[in-house]
Amino acid sequence: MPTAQDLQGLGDGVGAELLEMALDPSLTHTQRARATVALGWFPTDASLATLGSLLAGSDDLLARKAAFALATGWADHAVPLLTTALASDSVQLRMATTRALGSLRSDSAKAALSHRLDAETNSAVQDLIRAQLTN
Amino acid sequence: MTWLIAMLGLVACGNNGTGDTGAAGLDVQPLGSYTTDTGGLTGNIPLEIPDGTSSVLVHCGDYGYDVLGTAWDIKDSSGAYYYTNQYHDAYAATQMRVGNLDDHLPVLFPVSPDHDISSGSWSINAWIASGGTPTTVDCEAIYRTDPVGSSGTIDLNVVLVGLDGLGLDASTAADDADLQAALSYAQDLWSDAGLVIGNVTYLDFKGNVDRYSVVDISDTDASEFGDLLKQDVGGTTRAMTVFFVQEIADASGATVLGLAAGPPGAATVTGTSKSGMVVTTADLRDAPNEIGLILAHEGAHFLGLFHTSEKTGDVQDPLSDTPECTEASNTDGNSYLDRDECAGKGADNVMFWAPAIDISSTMTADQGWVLRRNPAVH
Repeated sequence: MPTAQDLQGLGDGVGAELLEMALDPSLTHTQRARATVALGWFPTDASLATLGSLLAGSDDLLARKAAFALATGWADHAVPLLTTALASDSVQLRMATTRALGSLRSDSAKAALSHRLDAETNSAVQDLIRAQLTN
Repeated sequence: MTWLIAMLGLVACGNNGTGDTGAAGLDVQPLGSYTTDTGGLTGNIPLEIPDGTSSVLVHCGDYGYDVLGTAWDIKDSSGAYYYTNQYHDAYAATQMRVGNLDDHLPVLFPVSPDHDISSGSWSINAWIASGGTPTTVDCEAIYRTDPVGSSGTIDLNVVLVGLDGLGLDASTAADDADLQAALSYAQDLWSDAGLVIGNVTYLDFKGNVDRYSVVDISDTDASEFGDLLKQDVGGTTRAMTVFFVQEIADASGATVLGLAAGPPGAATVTGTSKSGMVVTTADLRDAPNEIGLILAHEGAHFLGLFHTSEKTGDVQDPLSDTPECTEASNTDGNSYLDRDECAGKGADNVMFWAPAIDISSTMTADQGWVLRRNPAVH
C-alpha cells in the first residue's frame, strides 16, 4: 500500500482524487476502501464530511475504513464521531472503531471505550475493548 | 486517476496437528518429540523415505507466534547436504528453499525438478529461534507415495466465515454465480500447471464468527490468522482448506486480498496455524475473477510455490524455467519492482509478487511439477 509520503509527494489534487475514488461505485470495493483509508492523510473539511458519511453509511467495509482514517487524520477530534459508531449494530464496525479509538491512546478515547464496555454485550468486542484499554 | 487506482492494489502472501493416516497414497509417520539445544537446533531427525515417494512434507510445532522456525539442514541418504541454511558453516545454494515461519514449521521437498529426492535414510535438522530457550516440538513426516502424472487434482474445503451480508453460506455457495466464477477463474489459471479442482466441500464456519469474519493482522502479529487456520472445520483431509472471510485487515488500514500459510502450508494436516489459507471476499460481487486470481496465487503458495521474484528483486524462486526480475530492473529507485519494470520478467506469471488480473495468467512447467507433487494433490 502506498504510504502517506508516497501520496503526498504526488502533489496537489491527490486529496480530491481520493475523495472521488472513495465514492466511485465503478471501482472495486477494495479500491474504494484503500482510497478511504488514504483520506486520513489529507484531513480537510471535505474529507471529514465524506468520512463521517461513510462511517454512518450502510457499507460496512467503507465504514470500518472511515473509522481508521478519522483516527489517523483527526486524532482526538474524531472521538465524538467514533463514539457514535461504537453503538453501531455491526459487530465488525464496533471492533474497527474500538481499534481506531485504541490507537489514539488518549484519555478521551479511553473514556469512550470504558463507557462502551459497560453497555457492550458481544464478547468479542468486550475482549477487544479490554485489550485496547490495557495497551 | 488511473495511476492512483493502480497504486492502491495489494496482495499478501502466507501445533501439533496430524496428517491423514487413512488417505491412500500418503504414508504418515510420527517422528517424535525433539527439544532444541541452546542454539535452537533439534539435531538430526531421521526420515525413512519409502520407495516411490514423490514428495516429503515434514512439519514440527507448535513453538509460538513470537518465534520463527526454519530448516537448518537436510541430508540425503548418502549423508550429503541436500539443503543448508544461509548461516550454516557448510552453506551452499541449492534449488531448495525454506521460509522462516512462526509457530509451526512445514518443510516440503522437492520444490524444483532440478533438485529431486530419492528413497532411503535422510535427516532434517530444524532450527527454532527461541533465543536460547530450549523448545520442544512434535514432528511428523508425510510421504506422498502415489504416482504423479501430468495432471493432478486438488479437492477444496471452502469454509464460509460470516458472509451473511453477501447471502453466501454452505447452502447457497454451489449456486452462487460469483463464487463459482471465482473458482472457475482459478481453475483456468491452474490448468497451465496441470492442476484441476476436484471435489469442493462447502462448510459453514462453526467457530467464533465475530472474531474471524474480519481477520486482523500486523507485521508483528498474525496470531488471529494462525488461530483461524487451527480451527477444526471438518471436510476432506486430503484437500486444501480455504477460508472465505469478509476481510483480512492489516494494521495500516489496508485490506489484504489473500493470505496463505507458508509457503508451504501444512498440506493434509489439520489443527495447525499452517493448515490452510484465507481469502477476502470484499470484491466478490464487484470482481469475482480477482478473487479467482487470489485463490490461484495463494493456493499455489500453500502447495509449495514461491514468488517468481520477491518485490525487491533480491530473491528468486528455486525454479529454472520461471523468469527473473532482479534489483537491476528497479529503474525508478523506489522500494519495489512493479509490473512495468518486470514486463517480460515474470509480471505475467500467476506467482508474480503483485499479480494483476488479465496480466498475471501464466504458469510454467516447473511450477506445475511442484504443485502436482504436493501431498494434498491426488
